[in-house]
Amino acid sequence: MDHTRLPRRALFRSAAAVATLGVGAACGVPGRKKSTGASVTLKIAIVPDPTGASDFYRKQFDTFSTQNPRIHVDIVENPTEQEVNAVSLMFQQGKGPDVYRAQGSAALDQFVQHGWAADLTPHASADFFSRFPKGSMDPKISGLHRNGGLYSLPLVAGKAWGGSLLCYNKAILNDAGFSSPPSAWSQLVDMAKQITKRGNGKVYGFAPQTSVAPDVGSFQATAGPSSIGSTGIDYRSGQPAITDRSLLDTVEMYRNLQHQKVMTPGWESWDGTRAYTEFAKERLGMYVAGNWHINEIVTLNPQIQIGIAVTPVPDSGRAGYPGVGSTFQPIWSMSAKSKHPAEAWKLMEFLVSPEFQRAYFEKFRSFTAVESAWRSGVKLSPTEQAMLTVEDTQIKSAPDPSVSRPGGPAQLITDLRGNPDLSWGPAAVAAITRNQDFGSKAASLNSSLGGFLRTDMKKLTARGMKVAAADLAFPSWDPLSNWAPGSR
Amino acid sequence: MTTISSRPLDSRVETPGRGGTRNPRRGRFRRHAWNYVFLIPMLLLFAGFTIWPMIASWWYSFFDWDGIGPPTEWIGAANFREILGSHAFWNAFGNSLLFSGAAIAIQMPLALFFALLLNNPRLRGRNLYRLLLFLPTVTTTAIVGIVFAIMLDPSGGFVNGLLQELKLVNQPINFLGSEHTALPTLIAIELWKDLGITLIYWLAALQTVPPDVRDAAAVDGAGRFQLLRHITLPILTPLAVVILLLTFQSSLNPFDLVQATTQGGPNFSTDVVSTYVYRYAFDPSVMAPQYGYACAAGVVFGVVTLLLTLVQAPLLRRRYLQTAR
Repeated sequence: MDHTRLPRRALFRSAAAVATLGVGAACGVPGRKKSTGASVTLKIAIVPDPTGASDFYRKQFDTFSTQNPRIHVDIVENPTEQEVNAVSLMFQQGKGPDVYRAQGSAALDQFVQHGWAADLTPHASADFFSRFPKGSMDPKISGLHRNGGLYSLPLVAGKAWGGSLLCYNKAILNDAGFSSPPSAWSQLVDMAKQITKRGNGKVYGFAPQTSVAPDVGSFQATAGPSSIGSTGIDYRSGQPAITDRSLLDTVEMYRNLQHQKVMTPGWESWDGTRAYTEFAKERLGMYVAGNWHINEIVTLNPQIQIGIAVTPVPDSGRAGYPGVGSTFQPIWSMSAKSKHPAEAWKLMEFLVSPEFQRAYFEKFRSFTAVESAWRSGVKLSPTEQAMLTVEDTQIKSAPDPSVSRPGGPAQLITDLRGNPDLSWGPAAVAAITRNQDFGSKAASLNSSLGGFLRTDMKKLTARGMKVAAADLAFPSWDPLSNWAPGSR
Repeated sequence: MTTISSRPLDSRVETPGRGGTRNPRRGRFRRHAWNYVFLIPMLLLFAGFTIWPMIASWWYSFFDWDGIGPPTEWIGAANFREILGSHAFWNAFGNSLLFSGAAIAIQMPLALFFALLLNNPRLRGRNLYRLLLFLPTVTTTAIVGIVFAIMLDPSGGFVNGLLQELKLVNQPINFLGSEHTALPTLIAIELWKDLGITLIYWLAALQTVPPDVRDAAAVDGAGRFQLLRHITLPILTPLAVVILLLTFQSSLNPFDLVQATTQGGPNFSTDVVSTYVYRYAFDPSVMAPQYGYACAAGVVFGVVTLLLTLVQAPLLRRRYLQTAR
């Protein structure tokens, strides 16, 4: 090999070139794209869900730009599961979007805490609020407010994201000799057994929704306070209640179904799409579906005879309803760092306009937050009508300290949700799949939960976020009725 | 055999310059200056994407930090104490080691066996066989996971259908849904998928066996087994040490396969350290990510893995020196 000597000048030039490139890259040399005149480009971070959303949003934002010729909308798409992380990183790099999907209550807490979400209160007029159902924008229950300020706007109706429905295949039930869905737990078990027996390994009577069986919580909510299913705490007393009969009995029902090989084998490794896929293939008689599953099922199998019913209740009678702590799930938020707040607000307003919400409903058949978009002037299918009836029947408002008691209590619940080791879910699934007693595991978890709450209360209080056990208690709450915001 | 030194013949000769006698190190640097210039991008990337994250994860592991903004809440060794006492972490750690153990005990010898077969120049279509064995390695793991999940499904999956059709089983086997079968199933998929890369290592190693040595032994009357035992394997041993370490390291991280099939379930029976770390740092279902804790878990895993590698090193080195002599 011939070793050519590098002249000192050439070496310095090369080093200078490398350094210039590096500094240029690090400083983010401005692109060539320049805004012309008074035109404004907004950046919005969305997720490509449900199927077809990318194309839908592009068309909608083109419509928005036609209505507002000065404003162009650039879309940043993040995978749904990574949206919150991706938007957080964008903000940390100083390149946050003007408008973004905040993806729910816990994530909105983070965005507000870090000063990345703008308070929309100054923009929102009484006329703006009038497009939402009456009373739903009360800061104590909206789920969109933090410390009295409005920090997010909704996409879908509150009950549509909070509810769960018993979805059943009419043809499979008919073949097994049943003309109506089960209304009690024992009926569900008997019908599921019968369908599985007749199915001969090809059709099964019942299956959990995913490998973590979130539907155990749906059944628990018919047997006791729904807060036990969501946090392990009974909000009537503010005390840990994983050992409550409502949860123990629900897990026991699932354990028996599993032990008797009634449920679809393999559910232990199912992801979020598998249950509705199995149902659409007509290999599953019944399961507790999320609202958005229904449209996916109908898309996969338009011929399916789908039925919707309320979740069966214990044989001893109903002792609670699935509860929603807030009327909406926070979805759209605006950046507090946006250089174009007026234009960004216009885009936010567009996202909850009756036109956009109607278009969203027509495309995805999800009940949107602005109910006028689908309550009138739209023909609902019998299945959609059944969904509405079930939601109106079985979902009640329930207390949630993270919504109605900002500060220490809300932070305590956030800390609890961030600690997966205190969730009863994995222990319940282990009891179901291993055919073990859940009671002893529940007692141990209950004790751990109590310890965590006491420690975290002390920690938060020391930080100036005062919180006591009483802050988790809503003594006047009746799990069989709608909870009135503001009551203790 | 001729050994060619890459060092220039005049490398030790001092070059007189304008200022008289010059520093030989400086002269050497100038002679290789272009090499250093071309190394800069790689060094920058290595520092930015390997060294810095490593140092940063050590630093972050001492904080109670959710990953947003600068870490401020110093908690000392609390994360490490929690991890060392966590049954879930050691369960994941054990599973990671099982993946590695299986790779070393099964994949390495199996790949060697195939490499010996495919190294035979008289074998017709050997390139096709090589391609077929290597194909899984270049297939996206997520796709492999999804395809296997469909094939092994106890409800309508091809494999269970076949087993029942052949009357080999009465009930479908819940390959990925049972705590007893999920981990062995994933290990088997991982072995199948990574066999190709180990096969390539062995094939490359086999090219270092001089044909004249084999020929000479054959002339002396050595049979096939004797050739393998007394010629091929001893010559391969120094490279086998390298292949062993590469296999050990690469098999410790089956994140993509586990995430695509079982997400660590059922009941954490297939949880590995990378899925454990992911759950605490990035899983959107965990509403308050614990980056500090996740970093500490990664650090503990890295340190223990390093220790395991260091424990192996003297033993392997001794073996290496014995056979290299």
